[in-house]
Amino acid sequence: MFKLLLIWRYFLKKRVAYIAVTAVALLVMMVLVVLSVMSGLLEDTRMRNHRWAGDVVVARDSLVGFDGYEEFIRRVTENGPAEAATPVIRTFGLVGSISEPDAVGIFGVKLGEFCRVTGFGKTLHWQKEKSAASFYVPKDEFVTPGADLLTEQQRQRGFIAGTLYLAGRYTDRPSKSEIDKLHKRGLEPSAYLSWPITVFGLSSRGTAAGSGVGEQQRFFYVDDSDSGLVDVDMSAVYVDFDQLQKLCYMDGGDGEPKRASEIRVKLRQGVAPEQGRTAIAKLWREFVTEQQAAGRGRLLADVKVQSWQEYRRSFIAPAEKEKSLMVVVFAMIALVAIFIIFAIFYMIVMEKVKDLGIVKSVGGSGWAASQIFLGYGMLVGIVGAGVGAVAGCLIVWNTNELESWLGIKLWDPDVYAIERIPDVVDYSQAAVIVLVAILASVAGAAIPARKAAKLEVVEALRVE
Amino acid sequence: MHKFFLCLRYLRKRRIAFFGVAAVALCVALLIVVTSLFSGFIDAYLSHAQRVLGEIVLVPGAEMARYDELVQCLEEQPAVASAIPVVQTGALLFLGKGDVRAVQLVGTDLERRCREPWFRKSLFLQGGDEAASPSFAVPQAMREKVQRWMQAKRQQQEPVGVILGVGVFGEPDDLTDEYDRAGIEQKIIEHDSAMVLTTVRRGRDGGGLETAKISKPCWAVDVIQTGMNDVDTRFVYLPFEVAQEMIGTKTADADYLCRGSVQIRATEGVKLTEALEQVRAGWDKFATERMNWSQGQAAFVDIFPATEGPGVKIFTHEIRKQMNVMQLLLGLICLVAALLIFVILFMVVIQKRRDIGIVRSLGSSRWAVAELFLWYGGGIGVLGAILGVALGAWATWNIAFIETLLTQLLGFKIWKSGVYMFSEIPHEVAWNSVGWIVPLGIASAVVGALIPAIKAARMEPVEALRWE
Repeated sequence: MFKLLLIWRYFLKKRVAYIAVTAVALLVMMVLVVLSVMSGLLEDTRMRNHRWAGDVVVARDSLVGFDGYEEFIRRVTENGPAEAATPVIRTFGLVGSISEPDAVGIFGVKLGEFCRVTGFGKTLHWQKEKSAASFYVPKDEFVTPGADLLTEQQRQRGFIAGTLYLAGRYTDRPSKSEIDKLHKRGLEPSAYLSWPITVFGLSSRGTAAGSGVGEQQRFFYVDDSDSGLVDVDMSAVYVDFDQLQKLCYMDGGDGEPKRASEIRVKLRQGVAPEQGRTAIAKLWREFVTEQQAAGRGRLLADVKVQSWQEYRRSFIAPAEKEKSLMVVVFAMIALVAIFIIFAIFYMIVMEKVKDLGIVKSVGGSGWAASQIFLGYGMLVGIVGAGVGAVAGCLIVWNTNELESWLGIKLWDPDVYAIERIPDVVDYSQAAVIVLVAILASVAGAAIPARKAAKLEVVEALRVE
Repeated sequence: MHKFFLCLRYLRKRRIAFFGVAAVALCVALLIVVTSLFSGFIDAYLSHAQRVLGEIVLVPGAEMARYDELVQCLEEQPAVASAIPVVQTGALLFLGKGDVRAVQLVGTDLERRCREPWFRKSLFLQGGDEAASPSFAVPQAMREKVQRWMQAKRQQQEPVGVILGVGVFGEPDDLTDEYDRAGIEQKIIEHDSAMVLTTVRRGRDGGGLETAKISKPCWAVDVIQTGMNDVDTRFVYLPFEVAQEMIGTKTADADYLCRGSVQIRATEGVKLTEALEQVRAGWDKFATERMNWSQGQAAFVDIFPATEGPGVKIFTHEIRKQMNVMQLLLGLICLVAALLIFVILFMVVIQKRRDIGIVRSLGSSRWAVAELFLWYGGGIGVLGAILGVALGAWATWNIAFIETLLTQLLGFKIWKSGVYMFSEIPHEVAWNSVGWIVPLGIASAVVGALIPAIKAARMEPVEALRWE
């Protein structure tokens, strides 16, 4: 009992203890804030990547693509773990000619299916609220019937452009605010903005198909997509799957089966991501063996079945690295903090030598003396970590308000695709930080406590 | 004098002070490394802009022909060392079996371009020999393969020689981020079919909106590795005339109208403003004397230093801001260092009560005692700062080594050219930043010493000496 009383007394009476508490609190707060913001940003990045890619991606690197995708989609959706799946063609194309043409990534997607499998629909500007987005170029309701500017065939050929790419083409700065200005200035589907898109057709043997020098088609603006992924928004144009398939000579016109470059899969509710991927990979292997037995699987051998994390790995990894570097930096600070606590306890032990002498002389053991200091360390740790955690949470919850109040913009939303600084605390992480802080405090007290235990009674009382 | 000795003694004998020194050193070193990395990155980006765009860029306002005469007019100016005409456009490159890439087609004057040592040294096959001048011509060793290919394809037109960015031709190793140089050289020498370069241009009938696709067979004669990611993974160099012919419109006198630019390098030692003026003068001369344009037509041109280009400025601004955020974060760590020093000094003050008592009873003023501890804090700061600068400079110079270590330790490469644009990590110490980092380190130590110094000054000599 006397130990608890002593601990409490030391804690209240020694002003130097406040410093220790402040130090612990400050550090817990800092680590909590930085970690929360960093993991929030990382989570954001992952969410955007997941939203764009779907759950599982079956893809072949080669632009030739692979055949049998329709059959495989039927299998995974009917008996497999997939709720929905859709083919995608991925190729490179040249856009425009008035200014210098740009070489960009062209995606052929079945928009309705694609939006069901991925979260693509939510990234659109004009068709965001619509239940079914489409590439159909809408008719202007004010135009009298008959005076239609486009033929029905042309109306099928809409394109959706990545926001940053679209803004970069018409202004000197690829950014979100520029695209808003463009929208206000009349960039809308009924403006019939059109781009000639040139792609390179490949036969199923990989040789140049068709004219051998690329095929051209004019497409009309229907929407833009803001996926929040800079690499995608900077260089992606989406057109209709069937249109692009024909343009790339992948539609089986040459007697070979139809081809696609990717299958995006959405897993059924309740199927774990990794489990789903393994199941699809197994189905795919069976499918390939079957096809090869029938002498058809020439293009299927190097097709990969990847989870969305693997598929977008090179874009998620930098964010993960940044976070781990940050953690390393703050681990260093935590080390400094242990020193601070150590120094403070050392000081207290030195000052309280007499108290210890008394405790020991009335029969307290060495262990009891060291217990006092370990308990003291823990108390400092608990109070400091508690205060720090509360302050940290308050800061994280209000980061955006703080940012606007301070009048600074840490991340320009134009450049980083970050509209809000993450303001959610990961409580399991917070708990770990608090625990580590308390342990560090106890560790800092350990050496002084040992010293206290070893103190000779006579030595301690001799002073004065 | 006694203050100095006491300071020195405390510094040497109180081992706990080393923690303070270490904390200051760590802060200073971290700040130096981070600042050096960021400013090195900005410098690398600016010099990259200058390499890709030239020191000064001249962009005619409209399509024009006779670039050779323009270059001649510009090079007559004493402040202009070289002027390289360039046409650039997006293109698709069919490399062979199922492999199509999106590339940037760059028509350039190779002879002029190779006057810049970085360019010639970056060439794989033709870069080694200083005496020979690199060229787009298909070398003798490959001729036979070209002939065979032309016969097999019944092709009349000989493929044009092109130089590819190394990333167009091969992929870097996933772990080391390095290209297999020997393998790629082998591949250039041995490949036996032509590639096809496809791009589009405005219709020849001058319809404006109409576009025509054009393509050209080409043969890779060399590969270039500059360490700048966008050049290495996207650029395809070919002769200026060929590119001009591909995307330009033919004029009556067999020249081609196209929108190009001229990349200008100033003579060494000439001020940028002067060079800009002379470039403008060269342009005026060309416009009025050679082209017989009116003043109004001649004014339709853009001349600017590459580092002031619109995209370049936005990008460096963003990087600077990120650097400031990092500095702020690390500055906070300095605060922790100040706290540590405060605690340490507080302890020393308590322990050295008797010293203080003696000093005071010998007639020193309160201020002198306070000064002693401020000096002590300052001493810790100075020592820490010196150590920190040394540590920071060492870490910056050996950053590549540290990164290799980390790569082995963590199992993934931290610095990838695909993410950070350059394959080389900046390793120049930003000495001008040391000018504010060192005072900051010392100041945080002195601030930490402030309260202990006051406490020491307020100690009564009798109180202090009463012990034992």
